Amino acid sequence: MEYSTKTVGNRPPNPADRTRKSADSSDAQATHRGTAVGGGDDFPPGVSGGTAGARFTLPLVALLATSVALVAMMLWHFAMVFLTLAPASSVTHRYQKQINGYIYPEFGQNWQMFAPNPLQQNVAIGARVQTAGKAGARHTWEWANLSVPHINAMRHNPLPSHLDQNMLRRAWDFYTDNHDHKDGSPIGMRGELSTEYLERIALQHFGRKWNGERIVGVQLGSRINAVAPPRWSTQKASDNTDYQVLPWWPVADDNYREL
Amino acid sequence: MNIDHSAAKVVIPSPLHTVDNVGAPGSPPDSAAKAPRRPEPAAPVSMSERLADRGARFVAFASRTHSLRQAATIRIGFGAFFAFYLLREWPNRRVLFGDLNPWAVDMARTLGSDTHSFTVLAWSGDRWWFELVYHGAIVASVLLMLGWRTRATAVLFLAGVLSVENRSPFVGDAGDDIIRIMAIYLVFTRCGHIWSLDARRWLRACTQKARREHAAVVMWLALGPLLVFLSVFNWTGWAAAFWVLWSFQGLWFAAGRWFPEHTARALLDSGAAMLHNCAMLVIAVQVCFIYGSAGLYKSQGFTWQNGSAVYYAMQLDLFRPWPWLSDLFSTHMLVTYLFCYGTVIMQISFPFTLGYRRVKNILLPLMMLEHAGIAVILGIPFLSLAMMVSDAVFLPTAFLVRVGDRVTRRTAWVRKRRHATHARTGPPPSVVLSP
Repeated sequence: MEYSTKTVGNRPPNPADRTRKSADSSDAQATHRGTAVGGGDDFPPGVSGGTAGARFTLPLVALLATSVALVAMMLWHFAMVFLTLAPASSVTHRYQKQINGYIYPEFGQNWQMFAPNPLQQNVAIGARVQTAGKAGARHTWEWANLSVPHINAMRHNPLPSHLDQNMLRRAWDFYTDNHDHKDGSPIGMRGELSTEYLERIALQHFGRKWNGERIVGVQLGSRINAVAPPRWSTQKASDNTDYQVLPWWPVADDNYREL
Repeated sequence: MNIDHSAAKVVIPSPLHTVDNVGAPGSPPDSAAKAPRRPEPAAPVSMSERLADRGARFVAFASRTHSLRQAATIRIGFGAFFAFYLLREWPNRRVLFGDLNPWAVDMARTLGSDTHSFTVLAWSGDRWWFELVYHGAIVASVLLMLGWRTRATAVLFLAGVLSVENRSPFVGDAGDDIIRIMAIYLVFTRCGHIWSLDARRWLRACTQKARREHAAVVMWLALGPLLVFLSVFNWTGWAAAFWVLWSFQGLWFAAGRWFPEHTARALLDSGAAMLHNCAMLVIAVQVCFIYGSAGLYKSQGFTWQNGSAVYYAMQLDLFRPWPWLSDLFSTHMLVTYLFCYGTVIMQISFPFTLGYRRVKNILLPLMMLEHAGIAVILGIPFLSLAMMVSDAVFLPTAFLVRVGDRVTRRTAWVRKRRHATHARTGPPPSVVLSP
């Protein structure tokens, strides 16, 4: 009995189908029997169709109740996903708590990649460290571009790693999203976490020692180059480069845990 | 309406259905086609009878398992996707998700106490635990792809996906969102009923002497203590969800063991089929949500409107693995304009074309082709692959039947060559398919 040949035409096989087949063979396995018990061919057991003689039997009521419950849950899910994707409105504003309570964390979603506009700038993240030399002398070293190794690793690579494509980019976004744009102070627990995350990514790049001296401070910054408009565009290419420099952060052994 | 309650009820024997008139895929039992076979009711029927009949027809439709092939396709697709993803990141695994992660375990726990996301990787920061979970997730993905004990494996796969994805919430992209959401939906489908090791085992059980299902019960029992551990030490909403899934699996085993002929077991079967149908519909609608929202958001952007968005996307250092290829596609005004408008129009219109089989069947390969192109040009293969697998839920059944038959025939041929025997492959399909 070839499995794929059980179906006729393009109809997908269903348990009832299999039931008919297995009922034919005398040694059919129990777990496989499906819906053959009682009832017609098409109807679940205890449920019979036909305009005359049809009754609301217990199985029919149970299955109807199940289907109604499932459909209601499905519609609820659709509504919540819709509201989490839809732009902010008075509805989403009023029911934000319920929507978030249902959607987050596991159904969280955002399909705005390259939308509404793709990023029009290349952001490079840099870092430099301060080390403690002999006799308490502090040395500040040159900036290192943290983005370049990742971009080089992705070039001519058909399968770029998330490590190169996402980690630094998203850590930087996480930081800027959770810090005050004016005075740069962290916003809540996420602000603190994002600072630590960014610091640790930079420290992983440098290691515990730099040029033989212990690292005691680290500073990060970004360089933002606007992408030149396409040549057919009348827009003028912007030739200025924006820099954003974060404050020095002290480095202790605790910042290196697990690294 | 003339309702005569006193009229004697005429019991009409249910018409004998032959296999070939049970209905087309995805359509309710076709009453018109059966009409000539059924004698007209002699007496007027009551309202209650009419309603019960309607209800019975709906239930019959809802408790048939629809789209089994599509479910199997995305099961294979997502299992392969995640295994491939974890193997690709294997060299970087400890930095991305493990014990060398800049996103340290205590940071993950702090954020997790706020978001309540599920990850077993936050339980311990030790390397052995991480390696165990990471490689366990690979094994679960492969087993899901093969369809081994699919119901239980799908839950383990879900736990693996959530653990890895939620351990490092800031290294993912939209592709990771897709696999996380779809892994949840997949648990509720009957994705292992065909094209799986389970199917092969069931088939053998039908043809050979039935054996008791020890392995499945043992696996189910083994998962119990794990759940107890999860509930005692890390109680989350997920523990409750896993307990519900575990209980239903147990109920199913019990039903198969002790009352296989009872109506209750058949009702469980119907309920599972309904759940499967709903989950498949949810997956389909989720894909529509993805395309619809992506397209509508793009349509609001001025770069998509003036036809330069594709150019800008290809100029970003992070999405430019092949600079010459990006320049080839982004230096011509008309080409980028067509790509911009083509993408937005396809994405917005996709959900609405599903009602038109022909249009959909043209659009679907086009979308998959675009994903393949994006995978290469923008260097986001995993996001594109996740979208392609999700698209597969809309592949026409006839196409999947053809593919399935071809693959089955090929494997049967290989097996025949290897064993030089015909015993297990059964008669060739042509014999069975002929009337």
